[in-house]
Amino acid sequence: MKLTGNYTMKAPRAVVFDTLMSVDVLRSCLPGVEKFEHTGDGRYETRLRAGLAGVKGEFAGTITLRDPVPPVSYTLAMDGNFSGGFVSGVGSIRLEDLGAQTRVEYSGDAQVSGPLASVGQRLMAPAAKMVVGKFFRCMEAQIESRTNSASR
Amino acid sequence: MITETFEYHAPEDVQAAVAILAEHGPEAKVLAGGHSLVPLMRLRLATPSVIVDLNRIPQLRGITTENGSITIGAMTTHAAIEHSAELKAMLPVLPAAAALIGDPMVRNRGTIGGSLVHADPAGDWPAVALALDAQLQLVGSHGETTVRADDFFVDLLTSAVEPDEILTNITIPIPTGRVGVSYQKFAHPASGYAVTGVAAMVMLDDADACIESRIAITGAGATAVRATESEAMLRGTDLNGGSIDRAAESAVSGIDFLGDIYASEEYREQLVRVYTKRSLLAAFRAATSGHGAEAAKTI
Ligand SMILES: Cc1cc2nc3c(=O)[nH]c(=O)nc-3n(C[C@H](O)[C@H](O)[C@H](O)COP(=O)(O)OP(=O)(O)OC[C@H]3O[C@@H](n4cnc5c(N)ncnc54)[C@H](O)[C@@H]3O)c2cc1C
Repeated sequence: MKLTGNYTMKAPRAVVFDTLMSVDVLRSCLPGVEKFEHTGDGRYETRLRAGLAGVKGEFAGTITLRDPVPPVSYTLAMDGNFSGGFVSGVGSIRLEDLGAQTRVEYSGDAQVSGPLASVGQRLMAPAAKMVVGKFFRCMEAQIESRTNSASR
Repeated sequence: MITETFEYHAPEDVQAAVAILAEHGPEAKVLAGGHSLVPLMRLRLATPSVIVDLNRIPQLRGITTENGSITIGAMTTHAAIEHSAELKAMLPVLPAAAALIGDPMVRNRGTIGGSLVHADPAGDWPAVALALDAQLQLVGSHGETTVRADDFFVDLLTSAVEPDEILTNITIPIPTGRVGVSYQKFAHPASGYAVTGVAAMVMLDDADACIESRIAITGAGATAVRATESEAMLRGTDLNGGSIDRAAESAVSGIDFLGDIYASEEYREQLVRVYTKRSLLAAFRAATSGHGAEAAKTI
């Protein structure tokens, strides 16, 4: 499954990059976080549980943030069990400097297996896109609330 | 595979159904035709512990017309709509669109309510409901509410129906005057789902100028949406001129397109242009010929 897209945030690039790397922000913006623990080298032991239309999506495995080039790019990898099957994916994230704004461009590919992949194939990419969209909107809200409290 | 075990309830009226939902919260699921829910349960992707089957509630089925509007019970099957003589006379786009859904088995079991609540991004009814300005009646433990189709489709597979609510009726105002409605879809060859489908309603004055239009697109993005910019462009224009082309062109704006192995984002974008134009032309023809509706599918 390929997933590409972009999201423009109302914040300068360095701020967006730091936020994307922040464990606290990741923990609060990933969907249904039950566990998100740093085990070194940008690896996080992760358990996520979220639902859509009565279907429970569960991920248990590692998320790795690697090759960071602040404030321009990094790579995100995800490996583990996914709702009775497996998922293994890698994505690259690039931050485009637009002055007061930043465009986050992502492009990834994931191998997904198991029952969800077979029946849900048609809906998997849109569901992933929805999760990514929610993640970025949550991040943007976090940046906003941080800058608001800092300027007070 | 066999489903997880669940408690089965088949209440005989809406209040009883709502009471069971209120008691069990999000662990309970409503069962309508089962064509979307049961496959997920058999694969144990959905594991509701309580099933509330609505099939024994007679008030949820049937089609009635009064005060210039049509009310369709949520449990009315696609096939019942397809074959309704009343609808063929009053609002023929409904039977015509119903006939384009899946195959006879899907139409015999699947319900208009299940299809709307499930909010599949490729479902046909969401587009038709938006184009016809349908009102959706919900009953929950806190009482009754009516939601306009415009506010009903929240996100991918997410409608405005809360876990403790049931969609009971769909009410559609019967358009009067020189009105034409059309639903045109490019169907997935295996399932029949809309790769892209466009529903259009046009209301004309005596000189064929467009008084009002509604255009709704399904299959293109995460939810069915209206093309309000295109609708505004058509207002007051003579639809014999080039305005339909311009409206079809702008119908793609604002959609975050889905792409998959069957149809890429760019391909879906082009489908939206082509099917918006076809649907508007068909609605225009229907309005000028007095036939009222047209629907067609391409595979
Ligand atoms: C092979 C195949 C081809 C298909 N092709 C098409 C197609 O071409 N076009 C198209 O539009 N659809 C298509 N469908 C989907 C079909 O129309 C389904 O019937 C529909 O999506 C769901 O309706 P249902 O009555 O089966 O609902 P169910 O599967 O019983 O329920 C679906 C969901 O809605 C909830 N729900 C159902 N009714 C209510 C209610 N009254 N109040 C509250 N919640 C409710 C359920 O809890 C569940 O979450 C296809 C399905 C199959 C299997």
